[in-house]
Amino acid sequence: MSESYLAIMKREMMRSFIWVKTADGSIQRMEQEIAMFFPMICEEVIYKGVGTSKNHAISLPQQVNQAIFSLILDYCRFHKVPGRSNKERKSYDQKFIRMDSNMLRGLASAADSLQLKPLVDLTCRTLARTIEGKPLEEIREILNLPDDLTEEEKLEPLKNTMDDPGIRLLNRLNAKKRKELKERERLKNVEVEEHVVERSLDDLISFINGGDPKVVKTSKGKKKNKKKKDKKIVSSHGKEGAEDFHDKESHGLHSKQQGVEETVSSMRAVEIPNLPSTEDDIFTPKAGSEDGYIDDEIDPVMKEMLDREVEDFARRLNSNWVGSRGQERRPVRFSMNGNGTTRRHIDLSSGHS
Amino acid sequence: MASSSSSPSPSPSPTAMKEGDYYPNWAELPPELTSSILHRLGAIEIVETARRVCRSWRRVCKDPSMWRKIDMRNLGDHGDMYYEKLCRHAVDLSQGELVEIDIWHFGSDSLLSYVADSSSNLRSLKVAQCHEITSEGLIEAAAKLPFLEELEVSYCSLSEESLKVIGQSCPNLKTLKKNCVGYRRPRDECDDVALAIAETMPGLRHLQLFGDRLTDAGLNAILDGCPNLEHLDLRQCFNVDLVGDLEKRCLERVRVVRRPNDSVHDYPFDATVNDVSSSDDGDPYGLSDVDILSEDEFYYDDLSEYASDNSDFDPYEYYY
Repeated sequence: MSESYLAIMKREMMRSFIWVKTADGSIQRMEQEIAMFFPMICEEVIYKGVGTSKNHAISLPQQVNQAIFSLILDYCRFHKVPGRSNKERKSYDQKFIRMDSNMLRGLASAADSLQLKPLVDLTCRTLARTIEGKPLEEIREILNLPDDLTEEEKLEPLKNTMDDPGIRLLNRLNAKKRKELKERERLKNVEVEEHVVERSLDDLISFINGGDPKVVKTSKGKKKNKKKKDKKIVSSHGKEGAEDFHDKESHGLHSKQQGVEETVSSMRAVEIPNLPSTEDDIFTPKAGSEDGYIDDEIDPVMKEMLDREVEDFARRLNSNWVGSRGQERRPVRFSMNGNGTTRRHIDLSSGHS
Repeated sequence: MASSSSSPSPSPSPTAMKEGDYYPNWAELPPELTSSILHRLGAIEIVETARRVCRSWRRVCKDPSMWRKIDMRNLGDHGDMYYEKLCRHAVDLSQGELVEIDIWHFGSDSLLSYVADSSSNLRSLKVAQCHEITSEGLIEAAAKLPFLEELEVSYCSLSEESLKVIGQSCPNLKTLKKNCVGYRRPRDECDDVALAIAETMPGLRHLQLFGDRLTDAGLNAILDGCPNLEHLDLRQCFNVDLVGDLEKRCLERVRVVRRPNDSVHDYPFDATVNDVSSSDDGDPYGLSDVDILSEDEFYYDDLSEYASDNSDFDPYEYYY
């Protein structure tokens, strides 16, 4: 008996429109084939018998107001047409997603409440892209998020199963260095200007080889993949040169490389550069990197002192360190994939397995 | 009161919000949604940046649900050790619930072992261009992953014998991707991979063998051994001559076939054919291969997130 009831309900759905009520009280109707995309609507119709008339409209979740509902309808109407190519759909999505960021969030939230997976994917992907590659401060600023973590939590290292005290020391040193550098900057009271310059490969290479000591930030965020390519090439050069940080002569080169790395890389994390053991130093933000660290701002004497301190620890760490593999840099080769993303790969003379 | 219309209302311009319309700001998004957004940044950015932004994000980033799928394809400048540690940390955060992991450009056998030991429920393992990973490491890991359904081992070393062992260890394998650099000349032929697959992976539905050296015989073996095949990617398999009866058989049995000379626009790796006859000296960074995209093209491809290879799934299937 229940089977025939279901059959009747299904037939009802096939025939008519489904009536819904948006969060702001507006009664709307949608074609049944669109309604099929929404699990909760189907449930309401089949099991509770609502939605088949204006007076018994299904109440949509609170995230779905009339404007949002209308957008969602458009989206569903486009995509439900079977004949469209993937390229068409992608193109539609690209245009569809262009909206005020508030609305975009509202749409994501609504799609989530309606369990409309493809739209959740599309909106979340787009929202992720607004954060991608950005430094902490900028994220907080543009998304209006509170800076409510404690210093401790921000610097929180990974829980090492070994819980190496050397690592903790290095972290503390990092924090100390960062603080000191910040003070230096504040004292000098210099405006840190962000130069958005795209350095050509030759520029960067000549810089490393002792060219122009004035260090300038490269553009970040834009064409992320291209930038990454530059970054990687630079750092491979850098690291090859600085293995022996005991050597006084290389110190000049060391600081230049440090400068290059810090300027070429985006605000991302870590590590006292060129020290193999600091790769274990955990993903904490680089000293002063968030504020736009620039090489020639720092008192060279102070800097040298700090570098020495860090080298000291690194040396000690190195001698105790178990399990570190040979850190010599293999020459890294870069090429672009067909679609423009870069990949680095180790230069093997035979390229395939 | 009721504003029903006979035809649906056109979409309003984004700024035409009614009074009282309220959209959540970032801090008010439900945690699952925040999680869904942040997850797309990839494991590295989540650890390095996202979890340090604010308290609520930190909470979201620590939740095991964030770590059921780990995507580590988007490396920065640090060394392999750094990323290994990061990966291990990510695996720890999954608390045994890891389902999918994707690793490019770094990784070792010991990392694989770590993953396999802590995540016996793993369904998908993808490694690409991981030069430290060996066949032995893969065999060892596969032995601990009986529920594995998807395996990618692209541009890594994996012997044909090892492939057989893996096939036997993972009876649920439905997707295999084993891609390498395509050789046009010399016409080095080898059906070992194809035969290994045909022998040990009867449940395969999706197979991608970009650049493989198999011949018609190997293809026939695969068609025999893998009756459930739905997607077959043979791009840059230049020893296969997809014509006549073979072509017919292939197209009858397999729903989607990518032929040897098909377009590589949606292939996520470098598709440069290794043409031994051409010289590429004086090109230390491989930049002559660079396809400098115009601005528009870049963003178009960017939308597809590393150019998802559509040969094995249709993102719009939901609608059919």
